[in-house]
Amino acid sequence: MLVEGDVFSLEFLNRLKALHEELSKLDMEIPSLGERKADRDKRRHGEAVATPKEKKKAKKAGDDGFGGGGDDFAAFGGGEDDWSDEGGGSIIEETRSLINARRTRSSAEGIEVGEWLDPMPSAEELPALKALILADPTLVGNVVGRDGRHAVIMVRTQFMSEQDSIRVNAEVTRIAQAHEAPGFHTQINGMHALSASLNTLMMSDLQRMLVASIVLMVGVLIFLFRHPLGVAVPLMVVMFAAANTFGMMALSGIYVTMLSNILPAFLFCVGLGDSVHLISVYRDGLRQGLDSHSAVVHAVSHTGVPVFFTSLTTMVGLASFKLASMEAIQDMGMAGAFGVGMAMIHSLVFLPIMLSFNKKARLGARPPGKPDFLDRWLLRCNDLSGLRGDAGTGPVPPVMRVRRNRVLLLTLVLLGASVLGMRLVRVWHNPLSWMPPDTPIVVATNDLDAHVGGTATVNFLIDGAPGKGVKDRDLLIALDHLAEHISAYRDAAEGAIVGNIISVADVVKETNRALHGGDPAAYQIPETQRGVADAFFLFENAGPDELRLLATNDLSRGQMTIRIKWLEAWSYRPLIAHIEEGLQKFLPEGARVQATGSVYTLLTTIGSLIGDLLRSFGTAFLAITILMTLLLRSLKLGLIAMVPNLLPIAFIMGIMGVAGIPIDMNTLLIASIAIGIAVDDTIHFLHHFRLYHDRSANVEDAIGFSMRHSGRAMVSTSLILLIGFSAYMGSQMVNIVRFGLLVGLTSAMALIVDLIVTPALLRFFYRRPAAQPQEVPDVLASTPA
Amino acid sequence: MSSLRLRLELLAVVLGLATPALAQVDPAETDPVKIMTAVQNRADGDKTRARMVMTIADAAGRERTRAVQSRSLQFPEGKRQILVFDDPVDVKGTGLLSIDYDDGDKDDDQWLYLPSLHKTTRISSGEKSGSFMGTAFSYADMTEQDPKHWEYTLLQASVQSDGEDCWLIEARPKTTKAADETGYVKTQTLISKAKMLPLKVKAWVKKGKKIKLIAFEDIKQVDGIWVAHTLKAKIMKGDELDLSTVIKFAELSFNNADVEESLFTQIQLEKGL
Repeated sequence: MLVEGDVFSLEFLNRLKALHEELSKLDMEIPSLGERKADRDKRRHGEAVATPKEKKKAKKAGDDGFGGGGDDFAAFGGGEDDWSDEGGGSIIEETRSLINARRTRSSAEGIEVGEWLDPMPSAEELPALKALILADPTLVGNVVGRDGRHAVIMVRTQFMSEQDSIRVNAEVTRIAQAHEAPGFHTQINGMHALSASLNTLMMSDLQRMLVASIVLMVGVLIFLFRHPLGVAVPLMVVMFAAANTFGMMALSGIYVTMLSNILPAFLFCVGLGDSVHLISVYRDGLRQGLDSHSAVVHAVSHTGVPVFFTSLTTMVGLASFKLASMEAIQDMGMAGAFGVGMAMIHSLVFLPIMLSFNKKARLGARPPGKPDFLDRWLLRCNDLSGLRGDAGTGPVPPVMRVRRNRVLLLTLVLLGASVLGMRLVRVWHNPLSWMPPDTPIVVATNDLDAHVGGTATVNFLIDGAPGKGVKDRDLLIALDHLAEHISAYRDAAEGAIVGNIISVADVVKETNRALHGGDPAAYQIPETQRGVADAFFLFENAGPDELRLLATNDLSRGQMTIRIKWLEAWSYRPLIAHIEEGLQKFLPEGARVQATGSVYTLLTTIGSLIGDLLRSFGTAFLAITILMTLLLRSLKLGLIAMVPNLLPIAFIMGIMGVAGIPIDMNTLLIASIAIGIAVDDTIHFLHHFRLYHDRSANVEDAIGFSMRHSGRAMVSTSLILLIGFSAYMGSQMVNIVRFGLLVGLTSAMALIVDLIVTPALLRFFYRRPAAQPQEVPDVLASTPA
Repeated sequence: MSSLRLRLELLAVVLGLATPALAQVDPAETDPVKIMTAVQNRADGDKTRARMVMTIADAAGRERTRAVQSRSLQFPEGKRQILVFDDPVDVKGTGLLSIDYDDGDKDDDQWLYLPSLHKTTRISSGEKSGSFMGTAFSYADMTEQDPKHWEYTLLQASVQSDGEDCWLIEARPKTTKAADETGYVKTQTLISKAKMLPLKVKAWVKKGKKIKLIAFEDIKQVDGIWVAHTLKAKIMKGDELDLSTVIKFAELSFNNADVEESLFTQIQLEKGL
């Protein structure tokens, strides 16, 4: 928490003290408080983890290594480790600020270990105290800003779930607001607050946008089908699938995360796509004069297989996220795959049942022989690479050849342009940039960066050489040099970005100075190993709790924390290279370093995401090719299908490059939805193509058949997605706007490619028969696939 | 600022729990204040020599051990204690001298001898609820608590623990001083009726809602006084261990003739024991 005001005034300090104390006492019912992170992770991986009850039973059965028996404390009632309903505790483990900042100082009588503000100084003492505090490198950039206008209160809790963390953040915000006063302005920041703000904003925005999107989609459904059945049933399919999915997540312990917030929107895509295809074909059956029952049979028999395969390929695409290294993405992939499966089942089982109740409604179908706007539009698409009235036999008419080649050439040109655009796509992950600039967390982060140490952190866990640990004088000197090296770093764009660096070496130096009568020259690592051991001994007795924050109990491992300004994740790479150069240069032999902290987390996240994307896409691409080959029963057709599958993705990537939309966690997720949309249209189109081509061996007839029987449904589906997802562009969050824009664009691109490029490709790769083949009965009389 | 209670008050606790016959109360007693006062008022052993080994382990099982020698003697103004570290090698010879004044309003005094400086320095600190030398015990655990600052409730008049009939008494701080010094919301203590000795303590630690468990074991009579030779403490964060400490007394004796006044000086601190 950042507090702005005249820090070194009594009024400010008294307010800071009151706020510090209230935060220290914060108590709430937190179900996940103290939960073992390892147990939670195991449970999520399906491993057996003993419940608290089972653990207690196990303790009773044997010696727990404490007190001679597992039931030692049974007489107290409750569990040994059970806080029960006892009030008066605090969920806050540690609160650090100027109020309790430790001070080890030398006085005439000896060494005094206390707190800077205990007792609270008088107004007359404050100027001298200000000078001392602002000269202390362990305090400036840590609990107080460089200019004395900002103070920081750090609040630490035990491990808890993301949801509980959001609740705690909300309560801390409420307390801070209650302490607001003129000259005492509070702002909440830090990684938890950022995560909570992002989550809250995304949740509320996605919910609002989902409602707007549903309203628009309902509007399109009304326009298309003009009957409650055509509107309510697809929505019910989607809602059932969403309910099943979140139920499954709850049962299997999958947490709702920022990523899974996208699931409802995703299931709308898939569920509506399946339903609209079935209803469109059903309606076409009615249009052809079939009764409702026969139209249902016709719709399921002709669309069931492609719906099954579109669902299967989408499930494979999502299940490929299981290969991702990030657990949230794995979970999202598995939940999404499950949801898609459920949407398919509801579309193929529930929807036909509901349609069977229809007796009279034509769902907007026109009488036979009267082409509507859609028919005319599809014919025009077909004309772009074909020739109206062509029988499809004998040599390719020159006009058709020109049209076909023109479409393919234009596609190649666009692909080339997209590849050029793709080269401009950059990896750039900055969740802060997703939010409006006046969002409190954005303002707070900028202020913390500008006035104090920085929001981002790098933490090094340093293992000393075996047998020496962090008490090794050489290691402490190395840490001191390393801190100087890191402090000297300058970012090419931002300049100095390293704020405050604290390690176990600093407390040794501080203690050594106190042991030498406060001599500033003694602010260094002691000259002998014994001197280091003595400094540790004194500090351990003076501030054992603080030492535990900086080093392990056995002093084999220490920590260095570096505060850094918040930058876009990829921009930290030169800093990391600089730090690693320092580690190579200064670290003594035998010492090992493990890097953690938000900067490494962000970089690792992005690095993993790129790897995940490539792995997932590679797997999905291979699996989808195999599945399509199986569905289409032709390797040739399976390979042709990959072109319309990938072209929309390539075009979108090109647009992203030109429009400056970066690759980040958000856009990578969009890609998974995009490939699903692109594949679905292709499957529907090519399934019908194969069905007719197998019988007639006539490419033109087969294309015409596909246009008539799946083209209409494809246009309907794409229209719904395009309009529905355009609602997301009204969001205040940039990533959600991009989500709406890119998913809508992908659905439009996929449709255009499937209706224009795919026919041209088929005309290019399939030979025309020399003679007129035998008459093929109309599709309505044909045997379903 | 009160003095740093870095002294062998741990020993005082152990000795403080010793039980002369005079402190005995009726096993049927149900007044928790009477019981606790009797426990607090039992006679301490004096002229004490002790050697103990402290083993501190964290959640990851990282252990470290320290061996300490100590002497203590009652002076008119209060108890003086001297503590010298034997092991590990890097702290060998480090010594502490402390005076715990009987006058509760007077801050304790403490001197520290660090061999690298070859001199003794006086140190002071105010934090009592913090960890005692990095152990799971706090300074407050090492200090006798004044019953007038606590509100006692007898939870059970008879409960078995380790085969002994015990009282189970709950204590809640009545004053801010007691709450701040201990950092506890409440404690529950099992007191052996036969030995008038706490066997187990469960403390509700306010900060972070932790639970601290203390056990007194290996109870033997030394010079007619019941003394626990092993003290164990562990702090639990939820169902996870945060820190544990075992203190074992390798040697413990009272009324030693060589424990005399001249031992409790800064000069002796620098010479070692």
